[in-house]
Amino acid sequence: MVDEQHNIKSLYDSCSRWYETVEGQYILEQINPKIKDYLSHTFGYYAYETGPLVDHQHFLDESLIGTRFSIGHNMQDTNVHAKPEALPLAANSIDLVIASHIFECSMQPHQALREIDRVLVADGECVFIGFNPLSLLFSHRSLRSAVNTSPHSKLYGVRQIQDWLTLLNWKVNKISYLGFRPAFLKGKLYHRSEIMENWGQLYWPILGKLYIIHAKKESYSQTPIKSQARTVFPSRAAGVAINPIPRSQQSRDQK
Amino acid sequence: MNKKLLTILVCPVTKGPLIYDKKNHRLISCSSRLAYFIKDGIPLLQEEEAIELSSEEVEKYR
Repeated sequence: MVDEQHNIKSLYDSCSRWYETVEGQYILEQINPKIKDYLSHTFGYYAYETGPLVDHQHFLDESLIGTRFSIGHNMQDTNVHAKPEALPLAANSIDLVIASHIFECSMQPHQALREIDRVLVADGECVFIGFNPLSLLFSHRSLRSAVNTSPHSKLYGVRQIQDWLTLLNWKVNKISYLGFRPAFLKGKLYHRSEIMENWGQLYWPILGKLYIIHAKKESYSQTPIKSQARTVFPSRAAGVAINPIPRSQQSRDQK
Repeated sequence: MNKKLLTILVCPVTKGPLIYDKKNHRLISCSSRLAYFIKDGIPLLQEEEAIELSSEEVEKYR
C-alpha cells in the first residue's frame, strides 16, 4: 500500500516536473487559450480541477462557475486532499471537471474515470489532458522520463479513452493535440522550429505530445408518452360536425 | 473552510455524509467510523490519513 502511494507520488511529481522543461513551458502557453475556449460556455455551481497541472496553472480562475476548487496530493496548491479513485464528493454535484494526467498518474484509471462519472451532473462537462503515446515516436526521452519507468505506469491512447467514454455514455465534443516539435531539438533550435507546430496541426495532428479531450456526460431524459385514449381530436370525435365553409366565406354569406 | 464546498463533501470510503466538528477541526463519517483531519483549512480526505473512531465516539456525533 505504501509502495503504491510512493509510486503514484513519484509519477505525479515527474509529470509535474515535465512542465518545467522548455517543451512543457511552451505547451503550458498553448493549453491556456484552448481551455479558455472550452470554459467560456460552461455554467454551473461547482467545478474542480485535478492532476499535476494544478501545480502550474489554475484554469478555473477564469471560469464563470461559482464555487471552484482543486483536488490533489499537493498540500500547497489544492483545496481538498484526496485520491482521484476515491473522490469525497457527492454524486451528481459537479458541473465541470478539468482532469490532467489522471490516467497516467493512477493505478486504477478505470476507477478514476468512474468516479468522475459519478460526481458529474447530467450534461456536465469534463476536459481530459494527457500525454499522447503516439508522440513517443518523436520524443522518446522527455516523455518516457516524465512518465516514470514504473511497472504500473502506462500511457493511454486517445482511442482507448474515447472507447471508455462511449461505454459510460459520454459524448466527445472535441479532441485537440499540442506539441509537435521533436524533443531532440534543444535551445535555440527548438525555438526556431516553431513552424513545425503549424505543420503538425495540419499534417500530423495525431502525433502531438499532449491530447485535450473535451467530453460531455450525456443524459437521456424520460419523456412521458400521453395515452391516446384521453386525447380527443375534434375531427375524430363522433358527433362533432366540422364546418367546411371557411370564415371569410361565412361573413360574405351573412352580408 | 469553504461552507459551499462543505455541502458537497462526503466520506470517500462509504460516500456517506460528513459531520463537521469545528472544535477539533475534523470531519466525522459515522458510516465508516472515521475522522478526517482539516489541516490549514484543507480537508485531508484519504482513508490512510484518517483515524478510526470507537463506537462510543461515533454515538456522540449521531
